[in-house]
Amino acid sequence: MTLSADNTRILERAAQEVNNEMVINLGIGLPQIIPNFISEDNSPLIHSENGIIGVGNILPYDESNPDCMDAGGGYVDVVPGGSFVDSAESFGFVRRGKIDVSFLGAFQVSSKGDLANWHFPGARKPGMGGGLEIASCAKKIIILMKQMDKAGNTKILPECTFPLTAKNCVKMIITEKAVFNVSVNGLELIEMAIGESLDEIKNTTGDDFTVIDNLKEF
Amino acid sequence: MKDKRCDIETAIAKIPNGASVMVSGFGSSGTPFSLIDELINQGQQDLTIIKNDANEDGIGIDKLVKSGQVKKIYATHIGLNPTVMKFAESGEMDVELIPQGIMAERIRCAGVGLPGFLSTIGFDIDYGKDKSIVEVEGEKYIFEKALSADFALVRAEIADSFGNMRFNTAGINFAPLMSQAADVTIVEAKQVVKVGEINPEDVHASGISVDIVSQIIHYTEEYDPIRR
Repeated sequence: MTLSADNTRILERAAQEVNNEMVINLGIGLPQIIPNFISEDNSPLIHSENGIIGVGNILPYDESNPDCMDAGGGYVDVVPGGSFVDSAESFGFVRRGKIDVSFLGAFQVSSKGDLANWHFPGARKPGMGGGLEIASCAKKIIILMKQMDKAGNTKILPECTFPLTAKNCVKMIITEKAVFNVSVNGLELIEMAIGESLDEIKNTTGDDFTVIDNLKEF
Repeated sequence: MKDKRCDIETAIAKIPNGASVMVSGFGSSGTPFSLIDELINQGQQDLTIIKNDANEDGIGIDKLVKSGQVKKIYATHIGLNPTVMKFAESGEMDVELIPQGIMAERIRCAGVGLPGFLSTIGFDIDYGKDKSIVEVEGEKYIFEKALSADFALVRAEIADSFGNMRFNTAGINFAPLMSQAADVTIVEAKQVVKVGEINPEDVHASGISVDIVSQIIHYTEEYDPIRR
């Protein structure tokens, strides 16, 4: 799969948020490619909500075990030290707060950290799968998304207009242009993509944000 | 120890029209395709299906839906099944979407003799609007009711004649929970062995909740990985 420069930048930045002592969960889509950007000695344990603790590599078709599937439908192997659990136990870990970081995609995020990522109004309802609980219970939710949707609307808003997955859950937003922390005081720009301007970020962000003093580039 | 072995045809014939049926599996992983195929052969009507998802086009539950046997589905995600999404939207079929961990825990509760559990998840979003709220010691919770069924259809990798089961990797998903939660549990296994051939410490789920053990005879392509 060929990744756009924008997605590559998002993924490279996302990979910096993990270390080898963490348990992480990856949402469907872009987040699932993060492991390709993490060095082997820094690899966290990957939880897949269907019951894999320690997801390994996606396997070629001929080597696939049809039952050993991750939540995104990929046929995978399991890392040494990994294990399989039933669905109740898997979500028991989620509710108990054993997921250090979950990377998710989003249709909209509010500057208060509300997340809308399960139902795009007008489209058919796919169901929320495990997203609602993971968004509500993981210690840190990091959103990976483009700054704008395909129609040119900003995805970062004062209030989400789409149905919510969870309120006040997002702690960080990584886009192709910017990295925001979501704090009790609202959005805080902590990094700006190389070559990006503050004006461009302001124009594509639907709410006000503060800028930290020593703004870094990524 | 009771010998619970039985052929698939006789096992599925116990399911009447209008039954509620739990089906193990997350996507294809752990789905009991032979039991579903026999349900399609026999044509029981007005079924209520409880499964994580509705499989994909032309696979498992999708075939059961297209043969017009399903009245209602409880699922967590139907996004890979265009037919079920369409039927849900048009109202042709009743589809109730439940968050995955809540569905798993509701089934677990039914299987361990609990009326339900108290939860804080989804309180402040649309999901929580129609839920029963209970107050305990000044704190408010959503009451999530135990979810049981008349029958459970589950797949094991190996089962002994008593119904002790071992599962293949992530194929475990909902199988142990559903096997405990239904009134009658039917297991299809790739390998059916004598009691004693699975070491006690290697049993993933006890056969105490299993009623019928059937050997898979015909391996359809559904048991293979899906080419994407």
